[in-house]
Amino acid sequence: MIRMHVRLRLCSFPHALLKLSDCSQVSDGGSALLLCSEAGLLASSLRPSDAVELLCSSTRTCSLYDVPDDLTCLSTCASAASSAYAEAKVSACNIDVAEVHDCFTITELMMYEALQLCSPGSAARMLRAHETDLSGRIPVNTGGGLVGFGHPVGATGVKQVVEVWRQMKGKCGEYQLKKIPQLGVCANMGGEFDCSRIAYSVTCA
Amino acid sequence: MMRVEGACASGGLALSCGVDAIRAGADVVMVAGVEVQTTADSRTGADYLARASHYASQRRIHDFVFPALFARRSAAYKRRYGATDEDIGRAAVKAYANAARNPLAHMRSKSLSLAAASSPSDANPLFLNDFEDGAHMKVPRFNRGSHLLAAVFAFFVQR
Repeated sequence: MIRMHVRLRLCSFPHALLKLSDCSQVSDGGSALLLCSEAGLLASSLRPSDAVELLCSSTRTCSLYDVPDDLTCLSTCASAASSAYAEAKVSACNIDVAEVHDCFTITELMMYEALQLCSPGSAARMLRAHETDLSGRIPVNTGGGLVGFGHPVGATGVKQVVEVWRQMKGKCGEYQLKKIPQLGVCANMGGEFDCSRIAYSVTCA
Repeated sequence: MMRVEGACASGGLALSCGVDAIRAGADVVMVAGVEVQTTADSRTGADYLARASHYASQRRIHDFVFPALFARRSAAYKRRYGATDEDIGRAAVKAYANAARNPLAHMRSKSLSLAAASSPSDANPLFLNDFEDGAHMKVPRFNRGSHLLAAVFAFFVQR
């Protein structure tokens, strides 16, 4: 009887649950990139035209002991993004492509807002208008993101940068953006209570 | 060589360490992230992943701690902004559509319609169906640091 009661209550609150399609994938994978100083790049056998310029990397952490006041925003990620934009002297409205940490679908919406791609509460409108599709104003997670591409946990943050690099170098095949992006941003996070957030901007050399 | 651990943020943290190394005078840094998750069954894997939360207090919330934590965020977001399952489902539809064009993607051969993403079905079941409502989830007091799982290796090559 108790079990039945609980299930009935569950059925009345389906909005509070996640569906399988809301989750990122449990994946295996690896990703790597080379960071070079200008001198290092010139001294290497790499062609400068194969490189992109990393404008900045910004990291913010917060305590696992703190419970966020507002569950509807990724405040530590937003703080990392603001800092990254200020350091790189770029504005969110100039971003051509973004890789965000969609560990769950809801996180993708919150990431749009944390990265200032739209105002708080308007991520759903952005999705409805297809603004973040491959043909949209700011394509997000062009290769499928954590939900579609997969989430090999330790590799994801590196892979996001590699994905932006591939878009900038026209290496994305069927999902290559028509207009080669000039400015990209990646946001990678760990934990749920904003325990660690990173945002960084990448731009073409 | 430096090993970086920061759960799902390990890759970004490794990049950040690499940038610091360049700023400190290194000319070339290799940043690499690797992960193997499919050798454990899903509940065991979820238990490992739960170490990115406050394990001592949050692990008991659910066998799948992170889906539960984000279900709570999802519920809060829907309540505040009136977002619907269809609104949020659009993010999944886009993810699967993009993945279908990417030969390296995990879900490259799965298609997902907006209707399927917007409502539960046998093919797209509710996850956490023994977890009632994020709003009712107890938030325990924290008293110890957590263990972080994911491993990322950053190789610093000093020229």
